[in-house]
Amino acid sequence: MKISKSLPVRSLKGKPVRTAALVLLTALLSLTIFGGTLIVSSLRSGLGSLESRLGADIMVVPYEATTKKKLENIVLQGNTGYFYMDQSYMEQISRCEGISQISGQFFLASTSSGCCTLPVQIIGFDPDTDFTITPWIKKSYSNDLKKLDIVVGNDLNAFVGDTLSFYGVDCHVAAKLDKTGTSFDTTVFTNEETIKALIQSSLDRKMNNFKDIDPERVVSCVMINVSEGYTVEEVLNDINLHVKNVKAVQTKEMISGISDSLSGVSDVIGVLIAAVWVLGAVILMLAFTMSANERKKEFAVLRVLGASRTKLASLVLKEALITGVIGSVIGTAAGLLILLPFNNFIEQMLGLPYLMPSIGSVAAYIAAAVVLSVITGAAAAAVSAHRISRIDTGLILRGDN
Amino acid sequence: MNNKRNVKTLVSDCLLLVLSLLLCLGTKFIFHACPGPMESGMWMSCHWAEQAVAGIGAALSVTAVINLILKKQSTKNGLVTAMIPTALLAALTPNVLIKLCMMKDMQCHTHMRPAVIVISLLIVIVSAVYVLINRKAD
Repeated sequence: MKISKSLPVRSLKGKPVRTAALVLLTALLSLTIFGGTLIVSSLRSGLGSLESRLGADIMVVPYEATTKKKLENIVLQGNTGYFYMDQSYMEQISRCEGISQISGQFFLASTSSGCCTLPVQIIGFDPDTDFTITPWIKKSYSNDLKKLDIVVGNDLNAFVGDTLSFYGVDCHVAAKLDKTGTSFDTTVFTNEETIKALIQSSLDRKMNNFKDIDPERVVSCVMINVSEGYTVEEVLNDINLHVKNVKAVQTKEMISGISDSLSGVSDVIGVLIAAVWVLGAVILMLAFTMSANERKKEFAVLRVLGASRTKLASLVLKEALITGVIGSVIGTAAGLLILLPFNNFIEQMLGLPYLMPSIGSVAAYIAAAVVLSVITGAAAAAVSAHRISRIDTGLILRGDN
Repeated sequence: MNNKRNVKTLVSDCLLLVLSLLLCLGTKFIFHACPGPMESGMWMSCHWAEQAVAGIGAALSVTAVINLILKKQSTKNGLVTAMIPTALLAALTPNVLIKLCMMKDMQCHTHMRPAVIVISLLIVIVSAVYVLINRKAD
């Protein structure tokens, strides 16, 4: 028998309002499970990505950069800004014990980037010593960056081969980085040579001020990895004690605030998923019970016509499975339609690192949401199916139930 | 049965009109592109994407109104079928056909583009289902 002609399908078609309500409820259930899981998973991926992108144990910045949360704003929130210190501080820091890798970085904020009004953060690094940005860039671009070559973050609407102008200097986009879900997605990276050309141009145009620091010898921050046999705290205290006017910060401490916020958001979403799931299961159970009570005479007639008790129970279960599958597919499709296009909007609203998991993971979440919703629907219907399989046909047909 | 089909068709016709109007007016007034013009007096490129989507939305709205007025089902099917590629064109306009702003955290990327994609895809889905259901009419 064709499925469209089968009894459960006919029965569902015969009561369109009840069927629509069941489908809608299951859709809501799967939308909440899928959407909630995807958001929590994206937040976790974002935090992991941020941890790996910071890539150093210690970050040393000029003391003034640590005031008014300026540092966190620039490094973690993606706000544009800059601070500078003389390279002599880096030389002093490198003399401290327990340092295995050390590299300077240069921050510069463009005033505008071609078409649009928002400025862009530019980070320059020394390719000879860098150990935080280069390994990440190598994933997208294996060649060395030439002068005026730049690498753009994934959220910048520029592509390989494009030319972007900063302070009147035309730069060539050599590569575009993979999405990280962090503020680095809106950052431009370049080598020391190019950043110095940009700094010089900004000075020529009187758009920058280095006070008494020689622009040829500036550095914004120093990234440090600690040698084996030393703890991060030991090296951190050593730098803070012996090098004046700078502040060494442990990168793990910088992201602890973000980690706490993420934990809070994850907990709220987890509670929401559980609440909707329990509520959905209870409503589905009530809906199937009410429907079974309404249809007692229909089932009694089917029994008289020769349908076995198992057949009646399977009819109710099949109806639940059909509405469950349709509803959960609609729910997850709606989730995809909302969460994928509004990815940037959600990231902006949460203000936390947000990185969508891989396609494989998203497919797994879809499958899990569909299976869980269908099982919930079937379990809710199982109670009614059990009761229906035990009905007293004679009693019901006499109207004495 | 015929009445049932008419109610279904009427609901679909109205839904298509509402979605088309939302695409046209929403792009201009609700989920619009980045505010402009810039200090230089020039408009950002996302403004032109907004104008194009609003124009396509207006064309879709006119088609949806004609579809609502017409009685002959085969003609209605033809009109609704024509709305599918037009809605896809609207979905592709922001950033694919007309480039949006530099940063993806700007309003044209966070509000306008996703809203246009969602509404356009809804028009495509409703139109496809409409044509599928009414393919044997007349």
